[in-house]
Amino acid sequence: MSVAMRRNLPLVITFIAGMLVIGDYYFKVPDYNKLIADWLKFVNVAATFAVVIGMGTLTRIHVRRLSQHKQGWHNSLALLIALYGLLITGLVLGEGRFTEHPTYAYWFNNLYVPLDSTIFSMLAFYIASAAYRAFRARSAEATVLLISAVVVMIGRAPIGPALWSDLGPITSWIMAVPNTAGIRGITIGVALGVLSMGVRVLLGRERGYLGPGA
Amino acid sequence: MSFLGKLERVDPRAIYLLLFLVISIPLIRPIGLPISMSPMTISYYDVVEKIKPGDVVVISMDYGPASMPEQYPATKATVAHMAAKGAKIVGLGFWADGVPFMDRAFKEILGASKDHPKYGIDFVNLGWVPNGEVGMAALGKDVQATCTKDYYGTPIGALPMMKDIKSGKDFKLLITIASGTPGVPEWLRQWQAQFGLTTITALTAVSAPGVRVYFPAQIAGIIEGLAGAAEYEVLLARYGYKGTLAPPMDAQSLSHLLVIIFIVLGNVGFALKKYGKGK
Amino acid sequence: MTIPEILGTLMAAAFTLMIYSFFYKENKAYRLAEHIFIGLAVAHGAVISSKYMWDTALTPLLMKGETYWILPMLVGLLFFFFFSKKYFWVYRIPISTVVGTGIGLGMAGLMRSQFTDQIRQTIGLTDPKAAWYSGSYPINAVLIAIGVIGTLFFFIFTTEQKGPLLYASHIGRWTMMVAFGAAFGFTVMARMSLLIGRMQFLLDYPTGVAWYLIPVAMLILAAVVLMERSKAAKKA
Repeated sequence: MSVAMRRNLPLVITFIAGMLVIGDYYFKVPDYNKLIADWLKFVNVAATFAVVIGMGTLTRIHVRRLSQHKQGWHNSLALLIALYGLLITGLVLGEGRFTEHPTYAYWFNNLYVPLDSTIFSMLAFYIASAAYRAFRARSAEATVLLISAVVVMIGRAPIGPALWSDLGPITSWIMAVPNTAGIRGITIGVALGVLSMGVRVLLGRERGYLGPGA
Repeated sequence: MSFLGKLERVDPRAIYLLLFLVISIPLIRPIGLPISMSPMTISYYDVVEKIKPGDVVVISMDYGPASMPEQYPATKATVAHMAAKGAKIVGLGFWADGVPFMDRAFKEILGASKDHPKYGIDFVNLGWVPNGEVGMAALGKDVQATCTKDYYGTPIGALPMMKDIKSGKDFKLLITIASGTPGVPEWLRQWQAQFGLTTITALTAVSAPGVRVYFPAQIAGIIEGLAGAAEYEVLLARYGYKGTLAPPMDAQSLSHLLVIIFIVLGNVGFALKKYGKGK
Repeated sequence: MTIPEILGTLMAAAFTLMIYSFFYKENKAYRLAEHIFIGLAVAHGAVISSKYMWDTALTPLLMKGETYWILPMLVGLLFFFFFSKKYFWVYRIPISTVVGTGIGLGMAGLMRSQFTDQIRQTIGLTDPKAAWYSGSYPINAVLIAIGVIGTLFFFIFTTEQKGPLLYASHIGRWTMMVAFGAAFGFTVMARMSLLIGRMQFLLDYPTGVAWYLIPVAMLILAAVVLMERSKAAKKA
C-alpha cells in the first residue's frame, strides 16, 4: 500500500464512521438505522481488543526491567505476578464464569477493591494539607471563591444546618443559581468547542489520535 | 522561630494525623448530628416513589472501587427502594470494576443474586457493557444483541423479564450511579435525548456541581455524594431500611470543619505576613 | 467469620496500611502495593473484556454459526499492530473506526443535551410557587440567565473586551468564582467521604478484624522512626 494510502485511509474511515452515526441520529430510516445498530455492535466488539495494548505495553516494560535487574525490579515482578495471576484465575481457573467465579471475586474484593479505594482516599489528606498551605485569598475573586467553598462545605454537612437552619437553603441557592449559571455557561462553551474539535477530527485536520507519525 | 514562622512551616504529617483523628473519633464514638434534607435528594426520592409495580428500571453502575465508599450506600438504598416499589430491576454497568458491586448489592439487599428464586423474573444483572458512549448507543438500539448473556453467563433469552425489553424505549426509568466518564453526559446524549427517558443519578460529590445544570429538565433527581446517600437512607426509613451513614456523616461534618479551620489559619498567617511586611 | 474471610480482611487491611505508609515518607512497602494494584487493574480489564468477547462474539460464532462476527474480531486483532514498527499504520484502522464512531455519537448527542436543552432551560418558564432557593423561582431564573450570558461573554476573545462587553465579562467572572468555590466545597466533601469509607473498614470494631493491624502498623512506624533517629544520631 502506498504511503499516501496508508496516511489517508484511517482519515477516510474516521470520516465515514462519524458521518454514518451522525446521520443515524437525525434520519429515521428503518434499514439505515438497523445498519447503524449493527455497526455499533461490531465496533463495540472490535474496540474491546484495545485492552491488549495496555497489557502488552505493561508486560514489555516490566519484563525488560526484570531481565535487566534495574532498580525496583522486585516491584516489576510483583506487578507481573499480580497481572498474570489474576488473569489466569479469571480466564483459566474461572470455569467459564470469569469475574463471577468465587476465587476471582475473593481476590477482587480483598485486594483490588481495597487498593483502589485506598489510593484515591489519599486525596483527602492532600486536600487538607493544600487547604492549610496553598489556599490563599490573594484577590477579591479568590476571597469570593473561598467564601463560597466554606459556605457549601459547612452547609452540606449535617453540622451546618444544625448550627444555623438557614445554611441549608443558602447552600441550595448557591448551587441552584450562581453554580448553575457559571457551569451552564461553561457547558455551552464546551459543547461548541467539542463540536469544532469533532469537525476537525472528522475532516482529518486533527490527527493526534492516530499516534506518532500521523 | 516566630509564631508566624511556625504557623507557616507546620509539618504536613501533623496535618495528616489531625485529619486521621478527626475522622476516626466520630466513627468510634458517634456524635449523632441530625441529618438535614437537600431538595436534590427529595427530588430523587420522589421520582422513585412514582414507580409502579412491574415498571422496568435500569440501574447502571458507572463507578469503580475508588468512589465505592460514596456510592455503594446509594446503590444499596436504590435497590432497596426499587424492591419496595415492586419495580423490575435491570442492573448493568459501563465501568468494568463497578459491575461486581451490582451483584454485591443484590446479595446484601435481596438476599441472593443469581440463586434468588426471582432472579430473571424481578431483577437481572446484565454485567459490563464496554466502550462507554458507543456501548450506550448500541445498548439503547438493541439491548438483546448488545448484552447476549448476563453477568453469570445465562443467555438473555432465558431471562423471562428480558423478553419484552428490546431497546431503551422499553424502560420506565434510568438510574446512573456515576463518578466520571462514561457517566451522566453520555447517558443524557444517548438515552435521555433519544428516548425521552426519565433519568436520575447518584453522583460522587465531585461531579455534582457540573451535573446541576441538567436539573430538572434532563435529570429529575440527584443524590450528591455520601451526604445525599445519608439523606436518602433517612427517607427510606419508612420502608424499614436501616441506614448506616449517621456516624460517617458526623465524621464528614468534623472533617469539613477542620478543612475550614485550616483555610482560615492559613489565610490569617498569610494576612499577618502581608500586612506585617506592609508596615 | 470464616478463616478465608479473616485472611482476606487482614490482607486488605495490610495493603491499606502499606499505601497509607506513604504519608510518613515514600517507602518500598508503598511501591510494592502500588505496583500490585496496577497489575490487578489491567488484569481485571482483560478478564472482563474476554468475558464480553466470549458472550457477544465467540459464542454466537462457535455455537450458532453466526460467521459475520469474524469481521469485528479481525478488525480488533489489528490493534496488535501497535507493537510493530514496520506495520504500525495498520493499527490506525481500528483506532480510526472507534474514534470516528465515538466522535460522531458525541457530536450528534451533545447539540441537544449540552446546547439547545441548556439554552431552553435558561430561558424557560419560572414557577412563582417554587422555594426561594430554587432555580425556577422568578428572580433566581433571571439571575441564572444573567450569569450564563456573563460567563459566555467572559470567553469571547475575538474582540477586545471593553465597554458593555467588559462589564458582562466581569459578571461572568464573579459568577464562575462562586461556581468554582462550590465545586471546591463538593470536592472536599467527596475526598473526605472516600477517606471515611476506608476508616470505617479499618476501625470496624468489634465485628471486623482489620483493626488488629492498626497497633501493629503503629509499632512498625515507631520502630522505623527510632531506627532513623539512631542512624541520624550516629552520623552526627
